[in-house]
Amino acid sequence: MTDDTLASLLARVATQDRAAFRELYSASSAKLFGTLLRILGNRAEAEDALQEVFTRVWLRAARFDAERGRAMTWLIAIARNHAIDRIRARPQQTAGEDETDLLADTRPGVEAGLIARGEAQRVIECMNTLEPDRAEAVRGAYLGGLSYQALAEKFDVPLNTMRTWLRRSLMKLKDCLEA
Amino acid sequence: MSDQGDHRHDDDEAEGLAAEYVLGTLPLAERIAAENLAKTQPGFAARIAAWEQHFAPLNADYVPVPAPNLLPQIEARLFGRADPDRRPGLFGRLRSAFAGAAVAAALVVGALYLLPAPEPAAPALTATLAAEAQPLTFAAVYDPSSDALTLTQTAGPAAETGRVYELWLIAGEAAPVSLGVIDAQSITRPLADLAPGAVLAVSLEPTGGSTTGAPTGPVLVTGVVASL
Repeated sequence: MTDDTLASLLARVATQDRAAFRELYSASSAKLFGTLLRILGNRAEAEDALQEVFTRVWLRAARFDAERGRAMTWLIAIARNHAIDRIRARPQQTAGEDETDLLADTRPGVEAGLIARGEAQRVIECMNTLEPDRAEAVRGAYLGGLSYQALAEKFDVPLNTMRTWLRRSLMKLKDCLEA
Repeated sequence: MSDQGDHRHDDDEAEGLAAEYVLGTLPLAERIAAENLAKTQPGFAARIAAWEQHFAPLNADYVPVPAPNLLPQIEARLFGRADPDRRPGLFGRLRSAFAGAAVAAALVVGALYLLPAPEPAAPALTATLAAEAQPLTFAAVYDPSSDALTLTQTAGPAAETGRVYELWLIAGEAAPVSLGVIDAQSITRPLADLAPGAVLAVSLEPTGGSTTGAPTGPVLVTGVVASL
């Protein structure tokens, strides 16, 4: 499935085309479900979240602008935002358990597949300009939805220190990406 | 000079907040604040969009996992269920007119091709029901073409034993009107009219719902209805 296909499906969904909506589900639900599972760490909740994500996709499709980014990037942003809102809304104690499971997934080896993809080179290069533990924190936060609290515990630093670390890392990343 | 310094500081703050929002590390209250800022300030929304693009290559790390077919549930949320009690739309009327005839399927398909293009649908309305320091959240979607409001609990615990959540509509200065108790994760209620600016609220009530016609328990979350 090319991104052009997804973009044209989204354009049809924006005109209330239900057949296009079904095609879009077939074409993108696996990727979005994988995203939700990674962040939520719970299949039942990921299934529930997937329903909400596609509800939002139907309602917001007209806002997608193919000139401003790829269709899959737009879809994943909706899925990530919803999944992160859900885990941030969880009572503190259950969040901890799930996040421990998710940490296993943020091992550095995971990025090996990424490096093979040309378009990912830039962000990887820029991540490499960060200190290794800070790059790992950025990756764990983005991919696994880790909170400042979880990151602070993982790296054994006070919460405010973690926030300062990550803010500085993000600004450094931005300078590198936009250089 | 100091003025410029302030601007520079505000800029850094906005940029940092946008980056943290996309990274996902913010607590819920700050996430909601950032989302509201993006709705009112195009410049801040653009910062968020830029960070989504920056991080997009990392999305390659999300491994696809085949999802079950949840389209029936999703379509029921968006378009309502085929409910015999509800006034059927044009498609429903055509379908019942031909029901039982041996040629029904062929005729319906033929008739659909002959139908004029549908008029642009009235815009859907949505609301997010939330409150500071409250784990409970609901998402509401109103579909004007089917006169149905769907409310889905998106986070938080079930009501404690002996209690139930109840949904209320507050239009303008009018007193709250009950839209019924919330007895499932997602409920759909017929609603003839809903205007942007109306408020939806969820209160905690005894099992069976409020008996006075007004909320009796605490109002847990509220949300303002807005068009998409």
